[in-house]
Amino acid sequence: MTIIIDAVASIEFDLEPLWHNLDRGRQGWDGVSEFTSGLSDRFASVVGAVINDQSVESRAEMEIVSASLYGTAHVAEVMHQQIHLAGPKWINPEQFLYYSPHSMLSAAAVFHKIGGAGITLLGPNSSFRAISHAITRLSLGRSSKIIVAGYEALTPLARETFFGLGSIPRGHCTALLLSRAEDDGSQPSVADAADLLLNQNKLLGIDLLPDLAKYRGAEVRVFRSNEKSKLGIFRA
Amino acid sequence: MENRISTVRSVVAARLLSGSPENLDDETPLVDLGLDSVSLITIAAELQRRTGAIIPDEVLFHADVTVSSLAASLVGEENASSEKATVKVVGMGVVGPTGQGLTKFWESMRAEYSNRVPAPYDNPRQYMIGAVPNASPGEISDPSRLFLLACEAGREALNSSKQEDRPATQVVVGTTDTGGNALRHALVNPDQKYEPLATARVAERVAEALGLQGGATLVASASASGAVALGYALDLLRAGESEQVLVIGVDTVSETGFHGLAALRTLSPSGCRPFSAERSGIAISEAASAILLRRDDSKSNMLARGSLAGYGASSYTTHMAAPESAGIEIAIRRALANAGIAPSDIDLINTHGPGTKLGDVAELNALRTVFGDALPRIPINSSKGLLWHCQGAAGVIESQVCIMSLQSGILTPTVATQPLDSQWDDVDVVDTLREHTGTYAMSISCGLGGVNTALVWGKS
Repeated sequence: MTIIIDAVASIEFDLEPLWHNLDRGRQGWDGVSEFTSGLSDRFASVVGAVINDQSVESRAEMEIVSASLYGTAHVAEVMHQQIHLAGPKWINPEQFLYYSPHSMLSAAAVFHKIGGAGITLLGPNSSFRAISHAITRLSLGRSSKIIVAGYEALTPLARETFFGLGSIPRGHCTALLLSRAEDDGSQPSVADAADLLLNQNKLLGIDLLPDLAKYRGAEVRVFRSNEKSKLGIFRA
Repeated sequence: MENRISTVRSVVAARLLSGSPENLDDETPLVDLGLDSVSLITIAAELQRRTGAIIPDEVLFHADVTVSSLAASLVGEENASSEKATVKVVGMGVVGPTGQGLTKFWESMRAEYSNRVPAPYDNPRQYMIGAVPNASPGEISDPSRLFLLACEAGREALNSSKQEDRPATQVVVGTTDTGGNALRHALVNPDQKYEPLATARVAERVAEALGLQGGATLVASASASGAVALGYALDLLRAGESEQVLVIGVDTVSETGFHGLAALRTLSPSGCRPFSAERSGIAISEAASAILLRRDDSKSNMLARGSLAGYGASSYTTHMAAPESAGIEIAIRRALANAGIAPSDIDLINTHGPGTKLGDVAELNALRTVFGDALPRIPINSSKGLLWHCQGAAGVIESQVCIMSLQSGILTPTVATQPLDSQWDDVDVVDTLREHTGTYAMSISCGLGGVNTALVWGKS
């Protein structure tokens, strides 16, 4: 069985408004809420871009895996500000709907009527594991198409924690549609033949998915040895 | 292909009131023959038993599924040996409001004991939470609480398996605590390093603390995180990517989680009261629950406490905050199909049963649709009446209730359910301890935003 990257979509965006509003305290709370809604819209838009030619029936069975290093913890950062600067009554209930990192997936599923199994993986290597998980589900025959979608919106605390001090990074939302395809008998047999080999141990969550955006049509395979995994991307 | 067609014809014909296999039209949609989705699940289960192949959900639940399309799907033989691999429960551990350790857990479930204390935050309405007995407010809100609870449950599960090949074990942690007290600690103590406390690293750190080197994954799928983690582990084991996986569902009562749920008006001063006419919301608990799963092989002679037979999930919902019956129904059907069993094979349903006005009814409607006339004959309970909502740990700890019930032949009661809502009058709600033998139990877990899951557990 061959697994291919059927469709790709990726967008980057400026995180400066988020950083600015997090720094403003009470005056920035509404701005952070707007950012969160915008992040959800961006995530839904990249998911929509990879499934826009899929039927309603197909979407009802389609699975989706999301991945992020920091998730939506910026929502929790603001909630901590609200609790300690003004009291818990200042928490916006609608904002709490985005407290879970899974909320991005949920909102996209509601918008696009995606009905298959959903899972959100968090932390370092989450995008690598998300692709691996999708390949496993496809290989087991649990689905014929799976969306793998990632997002990242690092805050100053997350930037410093995971990457050290530095300039404001770009945010991103990326989606891949992985599909099972019929074998043509010419499967690559060795990892070294891959156009791109990705080692899970060298990756953090934000790195992988945008890098794959240019590999539409490529085959993707997982290689495992001694408990370590690599993803091989074979250009079509 | 002809043999496959013949097999499908005979199985389909057995579900029809009249007609012989020879008279079936291979291209007629089975729905047009009067077969509903319950019948389709039963047909799929029988075909999977006979052939060892896997029938994908998308084929089975396609509106125009036919004899021909079912036969064409029976080509998964190359995966069949993996898919059929038995996944056994070889260890368990738990710490939560029932106490520390599996023995204490089961004693408490039977005796209806759970420790409850006021939430250790700004709490004018005096909401109670479930907490580990004798835990101080400072311990409950400690930034390391998530890590410590996960390690305690995981260590017990590993020790109970009495095995030596731990290093190859993968760790999968499910939690909702992605922005809780560890993050608060970092924000108010900017001079202290946050990374060791960050939830994003918790699965890796638990694996390291337990001496496990098979990889670590963190699942963050709202309140269903524990159940989703179990489904993730099942795939790893069936695909042969791991021989053993330690699944830990864990959550604390964090300040943000507590106040966020209060802001959503989800919390109830009277706690979780599943199926009760007076139910008015949930209360939350801290807990960690661990299940050590192992791909069965002839070399393994470890004592199994049960098996994980199937998992189904759906993301279907129409609203971010409202539960959806149809989404739960799909998850249940997929779990049954994945386990290769029929609805009538289920002997116990441990429901999500949070005790919310809408959530309980949505789940009941889903159960009625899937199980139909058989539902009144299946005992159902909700452990949340006693444990309250253990959030990311709920799917794992409630699975432990299923496993222990199958193993012991004892069903634990749904606490605080009286007065029962009349909508459950015809349902066999377990409200007192009772003996009951069975082979399969289903655990249902749901999360905010349409995370719907169902797990099928088998008796060892």
